[in-house]
Amino acid sequence: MRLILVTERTRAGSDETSHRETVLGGDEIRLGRGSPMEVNLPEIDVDYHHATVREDAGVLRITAVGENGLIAGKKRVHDLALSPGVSVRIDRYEFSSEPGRDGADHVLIMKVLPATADGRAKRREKRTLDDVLPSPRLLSWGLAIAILAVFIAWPMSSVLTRTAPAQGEAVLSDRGEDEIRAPHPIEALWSSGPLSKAHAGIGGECAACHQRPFERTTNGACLSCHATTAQHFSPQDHPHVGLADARCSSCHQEHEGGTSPVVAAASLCTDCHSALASIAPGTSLKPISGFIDDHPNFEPAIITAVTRGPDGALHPTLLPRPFPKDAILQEKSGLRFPHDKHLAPDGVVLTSGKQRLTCKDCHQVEADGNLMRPINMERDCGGCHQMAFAPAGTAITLPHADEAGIARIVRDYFDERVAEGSVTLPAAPTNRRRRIGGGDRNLAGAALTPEWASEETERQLDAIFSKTLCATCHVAEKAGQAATASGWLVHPALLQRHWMPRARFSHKSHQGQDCASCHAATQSQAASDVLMPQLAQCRECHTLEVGEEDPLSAFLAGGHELAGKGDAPAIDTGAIAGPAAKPAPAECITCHRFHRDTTGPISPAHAALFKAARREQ
Amino acid sequence: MRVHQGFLANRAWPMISVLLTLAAVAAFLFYAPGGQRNGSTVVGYTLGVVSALIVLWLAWLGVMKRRFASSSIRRRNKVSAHVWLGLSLVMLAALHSGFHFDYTIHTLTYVLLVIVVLSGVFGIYAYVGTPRRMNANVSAAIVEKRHPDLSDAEQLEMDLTDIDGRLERSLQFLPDSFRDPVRLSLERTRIGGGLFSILSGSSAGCATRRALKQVQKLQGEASGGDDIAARIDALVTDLARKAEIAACLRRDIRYRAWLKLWLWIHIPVTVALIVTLISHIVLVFFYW
Repeated sequence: MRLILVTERTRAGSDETSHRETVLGGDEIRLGRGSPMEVNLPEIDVDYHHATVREDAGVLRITAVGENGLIAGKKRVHDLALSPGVSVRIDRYEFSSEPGRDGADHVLIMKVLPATADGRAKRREKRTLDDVLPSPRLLSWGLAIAILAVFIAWPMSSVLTRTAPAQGEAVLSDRGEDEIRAPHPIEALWSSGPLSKAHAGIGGECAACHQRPFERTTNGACLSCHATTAQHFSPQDHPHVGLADARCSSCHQEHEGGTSPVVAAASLCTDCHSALASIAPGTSLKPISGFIDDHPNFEPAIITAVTRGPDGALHPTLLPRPFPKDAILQEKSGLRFPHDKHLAPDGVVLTSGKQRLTCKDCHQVEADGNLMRPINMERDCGGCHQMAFAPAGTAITLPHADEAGIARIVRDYFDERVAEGSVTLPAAPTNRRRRIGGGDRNLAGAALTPEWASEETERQLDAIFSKTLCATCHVAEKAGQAATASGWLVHPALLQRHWMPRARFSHKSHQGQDCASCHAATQSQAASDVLMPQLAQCRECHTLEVGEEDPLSAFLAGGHELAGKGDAPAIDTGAIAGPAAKPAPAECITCHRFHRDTTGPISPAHAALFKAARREQ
Repeated sequence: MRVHQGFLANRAWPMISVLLTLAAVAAFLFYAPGGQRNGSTVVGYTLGVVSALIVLWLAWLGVMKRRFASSSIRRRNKVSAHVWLGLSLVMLAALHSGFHFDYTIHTLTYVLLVIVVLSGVFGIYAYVGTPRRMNANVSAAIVEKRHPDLSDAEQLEMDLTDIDGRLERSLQFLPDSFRDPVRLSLERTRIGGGLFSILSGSSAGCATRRALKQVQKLQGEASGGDDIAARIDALVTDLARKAEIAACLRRDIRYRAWLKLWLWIHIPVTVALIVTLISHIVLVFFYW
């Protein structure tokens, strides 16, 4: 068999077709990928020997060798006669036949179709980050817009939709005293720091303080809750100090955590008070730059005399302040009291034997923990010092601070004896220290007449007032025309309750200390001793200024603490220093109040609103 | 390479940055009015302003150093300023805040700053070692350079194309059993692809390597003349070489990717940082 193989090749993207004719001979023409094949089809999907072409009954017959077969139209066949008009395809080679010419038996036409851009075509993989990631520019836009949306636009939407009171308008907060407003979850994203514990209840209600954008927190916002807060000083008395522009928040800075935004630093006061004369010429106040450095000596309120007013109330006369140069610092309270005898180390003598007393047996702190409870004779002294009138086995308790009452009881007793016509011999004394009179007197045989009763009453009262009961603690005098029925007048006693009325002192916060470490009571022989500690004694523990709480800066600053201790003179009260106490704060507001109630409210308008609101409730 | 030695050789900016940081630390330690150390004190405010200006200037430098107008010496100094001042920012901004961090936009600003600086540090790390390893990788795989102008990677790409052609042609002389491994190598050998394969550069599942194993197995079973045996030997050689080149190119694109990856963090987060920084400043005065 002679066969002309016509190869028609069409290039991709071109209309031109190239023709090539080859003459093949042999009984069988092999088609396939393999190089020994007569018709070489160099495609990977073509089998090594894919098909064979033979002459069969005058037509070319193509028979597939392997399983891959041939494609005729849309069918897969294995054997096909290539009659004219029939074509069959192997991969991209399409075969058809024509009648023989030029001495050949057949013409086999092989059309080579253009290679398709299928998976076989070399695929360029993504090899750089630019291929697989969005561009940095796109990411930048996305991130910026996301941040603006979440952190700015969202919170701003709630900010812009609320209303604020007009500037300068006095408005009270609608927040209840203990009401805690839940934090606004989104606006909290703007918080520059945690609120102090004192303001934690405001929660995330930013508008409570920040009423209008780009405006510093106004006093009105603070006063809407703190309506009755008092001034530091009355502005009328201090015309040279401008308070008109003072803002609460310039001192009380929030969003710094802590307990409260109260400024503890001494500089709050000493910024002005260290050179007060330059701000307020003619001030009587001494300049002060700090408790540790130059706090003036204490000038306690010392009672120099006690008088009884026409209403019976007691009125103290105080040592004028500043103290005169020659002032004797003795308290004339009208009381006789030796602390040393009561605190004697081997105890006081009682009927039950000797008993050691402590400060607490007589002095107790008030319930609020600050000042000491005022001494009450019956409660605090009466346990030992009983007002007992026991002339003969009786035990009549006389009233304290009632001269007329005492006189009446004593007179009644002797009048009764006269009426009874008898008097019992006095019993053996029950309490050596508590008996009446100079000694037991045998009244038996005496004529029980009213004259006797008067005489005896007079004698007993003289003893009670001048020697035994009252005179133990008080000075009493017998006035000829005394206002009292007894003719005796006991000088009133008034103990100073608050030596430093302008300072705050809490005994409770000093309870770890021994009383004697501040009050030299064990050496005090007279009630006139002012048993207040010296400034230096306070400075022993009160050494800590703000800033020194930070150990690093305290170290760097050279330690004010040591200097403070060095300045304090040794205390000669002996044996009083307790265990070394922790350093305590030494700021102005440790003892002094800033907003003083006596100066009136900062904002009368707010205070009035507050009072009105109270009345409504 | 020369540029990076250059910026490391600059002594001025590291000194300036260290002194600036030390001054800031000293101011932070010594200045604490009322025991407070935060952005509202004089020192805190100053640190904040300085930090913000540095952020903006460094971002501007970052833009400028990508332009070619400036001379290389100036560019080197700018890179040095960018690096050293950028590092000092982490401390300056923390001091500005007084080390107060919480869940707010203010802390977000600092977090973004730290991310920017850390990604920059990673960038420096990448720039210092990667180019040398990258060059060593491809140059070690080069057998013969066809043209001096060709880069090593381009030469390797051409080698791959040549091998693929030879693989396809070799099938004309080999039985059908060799078709699957060759097809596997031709169609399934992937270099790159997704983000993960770019970044890992792993050749663990390389199709050519699998094809090579299959062919080596067939080689033992193959029958035929010396001619076939020689063809199979050539096939094995080609597949082995192709696997080597593919692995080398995978490492190459991995190096290139890691060399640039930090920019995908550094640039967008810098833009986010500037936006957040401006928001932070505005918000502080919005509610003050």
